[in-house]
Amino acid sequence: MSEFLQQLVNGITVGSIYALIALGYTMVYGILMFINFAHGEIYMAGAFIGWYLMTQLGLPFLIATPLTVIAVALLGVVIEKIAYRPLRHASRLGPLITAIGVSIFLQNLAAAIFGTDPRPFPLPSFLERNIYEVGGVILDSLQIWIFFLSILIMIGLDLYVNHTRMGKAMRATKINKQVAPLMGINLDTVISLVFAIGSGIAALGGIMVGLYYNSVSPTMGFMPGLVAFTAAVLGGIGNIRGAMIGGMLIGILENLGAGYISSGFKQGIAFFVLIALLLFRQEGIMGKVEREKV
Amino acid sequence: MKKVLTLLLAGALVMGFAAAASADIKVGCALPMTGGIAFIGEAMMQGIEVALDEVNGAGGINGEKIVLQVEDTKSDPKEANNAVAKLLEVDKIKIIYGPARSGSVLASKPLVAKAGAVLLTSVSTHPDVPGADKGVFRTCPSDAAQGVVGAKLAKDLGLKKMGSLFENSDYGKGLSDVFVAEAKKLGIEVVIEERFASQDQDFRTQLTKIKGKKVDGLYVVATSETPNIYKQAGLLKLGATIIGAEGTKDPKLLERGGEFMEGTYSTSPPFWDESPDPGTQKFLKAFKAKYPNEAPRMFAAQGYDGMIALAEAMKRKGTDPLQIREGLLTLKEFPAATGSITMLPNGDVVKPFAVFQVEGGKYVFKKFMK
Repeated sequence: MSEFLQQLVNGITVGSIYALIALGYTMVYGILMFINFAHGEIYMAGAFIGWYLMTQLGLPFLIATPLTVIAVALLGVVIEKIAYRPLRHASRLGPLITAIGVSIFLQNLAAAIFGTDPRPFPLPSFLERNIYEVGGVILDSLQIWIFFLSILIMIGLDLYVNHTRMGKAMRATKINKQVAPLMGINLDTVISLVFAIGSGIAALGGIMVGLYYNSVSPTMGFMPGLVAFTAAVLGGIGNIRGAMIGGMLIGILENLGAGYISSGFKQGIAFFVLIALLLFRQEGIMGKVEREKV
Repeated sequence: MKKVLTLLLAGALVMGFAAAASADIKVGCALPMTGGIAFIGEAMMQGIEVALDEVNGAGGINGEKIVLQVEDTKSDPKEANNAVAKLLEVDKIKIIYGPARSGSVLASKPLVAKAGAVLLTSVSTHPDVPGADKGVFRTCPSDAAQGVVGAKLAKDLGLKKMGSLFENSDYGKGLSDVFVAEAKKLGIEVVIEERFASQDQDFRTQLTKIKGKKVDGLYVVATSETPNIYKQAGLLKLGATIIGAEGTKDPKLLERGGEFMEGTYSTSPPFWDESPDPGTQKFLKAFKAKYPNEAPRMFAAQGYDGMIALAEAMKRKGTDPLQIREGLLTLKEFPAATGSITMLPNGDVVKPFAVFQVEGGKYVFKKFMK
């Protein structure tokens, strides 16, 4: 039993991170019907910038982290402006392929600046890992931090989107992109803000992962990006609460599946889920089936 | 304007052709310069450059200098195959150095045989890699020996119940299988074998299962994943003695793994700073002169060994691929950086392995084993 719980704990920790990344995918898709494939690299950028500020410039964690979040949020906005906005009225394929291009560009940029070796990312002292053993299950303090921080961010985002004016503007834009401007909503501002928030959250995820695995590398965003995208689809793409549920679920499924079926399948589980979803329930868990109204 | 451009282009084209002096010996290097095992490719290139300085500095091979054409395998077996194919078929270069992954070399074997070329690898340890009749040689010892050494070490350390955690690749599975077979022969129970995908970062799932089996020892076949594996094993309180293969012994891994690597063992070809081997010391001196701010890593030493073996073979028999094959087969006790090279008729080498243990943040040499 304790092995099952241990796998569960592992899964929830990883799932929290997937959820944070999935939020960015889902928010952007909700408004623009566009899958930002470069999002995994935004997460990687967060990890690298955080790493750079903390290890190369020696800034303390509590200063480096907010700076990183702001920097990456700006990066997301800039990318949107340069790479995606010009194609906003083009066919759906244009921005998609551009996103892949941005993804490759960012990976290689990071490799060119920082080299391809994974770099160690040491923990700040207040996050020093304490190990707790509860009923045969080992929890380390960093896992607890990651989980609670993620929950906090998700609740914060949920409150923001549902209880503020800007959140309302985002929801309105999601419902109908053409009519929203007629109601006085500035489309460009809303979209930029969505990218900024999604990217900032992903950056936090990146820092947490960098610390958790004590490693940052230019290719670290590729797999988590794909898995988080699957998580977003699982939860219902475009639905924020869905992304949270989807992320957690995929994290847990990956670990239980690898634990009880075979560890060889670990990477494949998320994609198996994706295929099953696309075959049987495209709208995901919280999604609504979209009907075209004529 | 168009005419000027055309002229400039033509000029550039001509310059391109003039770049390689006609009396150069081209060696095609298919190495991982980017991607997950780029740290291996980079280190190998350092060693190769040291070797080239030595060889070309002494006048080359009968006055001809060795020149490299490097193709990036991107740490991916498919790309490695493409890289080798390009060197053989497009560039018509029949002397190939690399790739790094055993899986990639295995995939390239038929191409090399068909082209009548010669391929030398200095880091691919899978038992099936060498094939002198197909033109494939190597200067590093086989996993068929390394796995046995790992099992014998486990027995020496008094380990009774072991698990194996390996990279899901030809190399990882090949080595783990050898270890498991030998361990069982020596009376050690191997109760669990778990695998992970290359470049994975999270091994808690596998380690949790391994812990559940209450092993007292764990055999690890990994490269860049090593620090995370050891760290997560420590955090999960696995409580097992860890023996790693040669991919786990690299100073850069120690940097990342820190205290979680203390006390772990690794088996590797014999290369370490205080080694009494004159070949090793000669390489270390040349390396430190060329790269004063870098720590000499085993992959650099192996990179060096492969290149000097190729150069020596060319000196002895000629620079034609078939002559190089013959030349390599004549190497006996040829001094090198990771132990002297004696080429077996099948293209393999036999060397004793060195056992290291991490003490005080350094790999400390413990003994030779074969």
